Amino acid sequence: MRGCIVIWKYVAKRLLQLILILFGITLLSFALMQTASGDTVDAIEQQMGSAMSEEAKEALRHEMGLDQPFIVQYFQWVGKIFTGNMGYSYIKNQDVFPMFMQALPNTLLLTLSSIIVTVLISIPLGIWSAVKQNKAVDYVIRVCTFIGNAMPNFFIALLLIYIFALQLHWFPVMGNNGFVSIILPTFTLAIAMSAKYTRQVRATVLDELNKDYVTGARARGVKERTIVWAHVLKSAMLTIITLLALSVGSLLGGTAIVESIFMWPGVGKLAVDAISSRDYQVIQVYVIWMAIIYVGINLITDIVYHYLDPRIRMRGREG
Amino acid sequence: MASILEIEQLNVSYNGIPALQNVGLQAEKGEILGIVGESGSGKSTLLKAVIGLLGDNGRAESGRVVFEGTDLLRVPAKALRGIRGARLGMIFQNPGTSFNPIRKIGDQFLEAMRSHGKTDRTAAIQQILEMLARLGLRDGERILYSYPFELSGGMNQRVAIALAMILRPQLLLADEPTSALDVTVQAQCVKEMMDLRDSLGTTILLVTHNMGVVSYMADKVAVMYAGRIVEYGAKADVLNCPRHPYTRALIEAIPQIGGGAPKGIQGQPSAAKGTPDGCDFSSRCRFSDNICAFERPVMNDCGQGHAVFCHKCFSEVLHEGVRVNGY
Repeated sequence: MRGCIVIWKYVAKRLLQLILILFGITLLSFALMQTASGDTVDAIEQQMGSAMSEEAKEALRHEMGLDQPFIVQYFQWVGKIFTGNMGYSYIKNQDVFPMFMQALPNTLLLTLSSIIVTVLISIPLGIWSAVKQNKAVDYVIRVCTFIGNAMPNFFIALLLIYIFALQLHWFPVMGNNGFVSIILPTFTLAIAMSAKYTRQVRATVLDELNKDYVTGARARGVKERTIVWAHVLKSAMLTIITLLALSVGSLLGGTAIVESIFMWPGVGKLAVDAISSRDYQVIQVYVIWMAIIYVGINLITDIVYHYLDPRIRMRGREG
Repeated sequence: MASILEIEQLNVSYNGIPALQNVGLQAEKGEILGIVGESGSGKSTLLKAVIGLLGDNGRAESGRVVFEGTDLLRVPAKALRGIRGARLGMIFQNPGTSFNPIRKIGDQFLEAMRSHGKTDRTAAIQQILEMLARLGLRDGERILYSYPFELSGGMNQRVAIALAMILRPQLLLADEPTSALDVTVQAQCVKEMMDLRDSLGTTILLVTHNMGVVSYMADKVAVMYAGRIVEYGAKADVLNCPRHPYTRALIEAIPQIGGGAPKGIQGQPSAAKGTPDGCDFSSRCRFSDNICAFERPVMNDCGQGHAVFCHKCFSEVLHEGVRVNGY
């Protein structure tokens, strides 16, 4: 089908864009880190806890290529990436890539679990709230989402830790000890996101319910339940997916605060640790990862749109 | 013969503001009742009240809407859903928007039919294709697999008519079914609705701005002003011998090819205020005098079911005939 060809052309175009974006973003972050105060060698010195002579420092700088001009350093770094070498963390004394790959599954897991819980909470509640607009249920849900929105992540985290870990002893406070450890961080993230999405789902569903096609379906004697699930939800999904995609993006980047509070060894925590110890090699890889996520998520969202909304699909066919 | 639809003393309000006042009319089997009037006169509200889709703000305060012996205002929601679409169909002003834009036409047909117990897919598709063919849509197969936005306005309207007619309703509510269409397609849609009436005996409540369509299609005409029916009777009586000054003014406002500039009606249409006294049209009426300003008129019977809501309807000056431009 021609529609398929169009979408693959589009994907190819987007992937090309991704390369340009990666080039720009790494150059920029490389430049920013050059201008940041303090250099890696000073950081290593601090890390070692013993003073180094200026000569030793210079030698180390030379060994690491830090005495080269900026642009040379950049291309050396890019060249290494193409050979699969993401750099070496002088702070942690290990290769960056394995470090990163060790943290990534934890973040992926947390992202997946918190998004699933969010969807399971917010879509039914949002629909319920919209269908029962201005009834008691709607007010209760709205008050809850309001409170949820007003509470910052870390506060929810502390609240959950206090109740479920310290008082009830149901879950461990921190660390990664399998399934039970993921529950508190998951709910911390999901509660905050659900508060936002429930309102969003409610608003979108209400918006759709007032459209002419709903009146049309009612005039044809279609059941109210069918109208909500087959018509309204399908249309509302277009809006909701866009928002979810943005959330998935920021979750995949690691949720620095939540991962740190629960000592969840994901990429967010890795990045925060790297920033506080000026571990530039790790930060660079993190930056690349973020760029890939955002371009990738946008791409996936567009492809999903393409399948959900025939209007976009057809426009593609004409274009 | 018993009427298919009998509306008695119907009062409807939006957020407490009256939109229909004491509306009453009857329609027999196979009859086409044209409802005319300016925007805001309550024509669409009347249709929505009949099918029970007044929305969150609208409320039928009192009166009866008896359809085939059932009062639609008092029937439980579940039973009303069973009537809608099956025995009572509706065509909307803007046909394209009554379809869900992201679902295929065929799915929306099948869904409506399934809602009324027609679960045999093959039989249903056969029936849909026949109905589409009747409406001059030969490539029914393609239409069923199309999305609404892929069809032209005229095609969408005919598809909407087909969808409203697919379960052979006894009563069809048509809310300005032709106003969104260009003239040639209008004529085609009008002809097709007439054909359906002739072959299936459908009663049609036709709301329109277009006096030409009314004069061509309708058997009876109801003229609405400020939420009331101000003149009601057989088409020939109402259009050829209008007794209400407003009806006269409406007919004179029709542009004629080769005629001069059409005469507008002075002033703004008044809302249905529900004021205790006076005629709502008196401030714009050429014939009004004291009594019109202070006393509410009653429905006067002028014979042969021709009723007029006016103090002046028997006066000589309103008796000379006017002719409507033929459709």
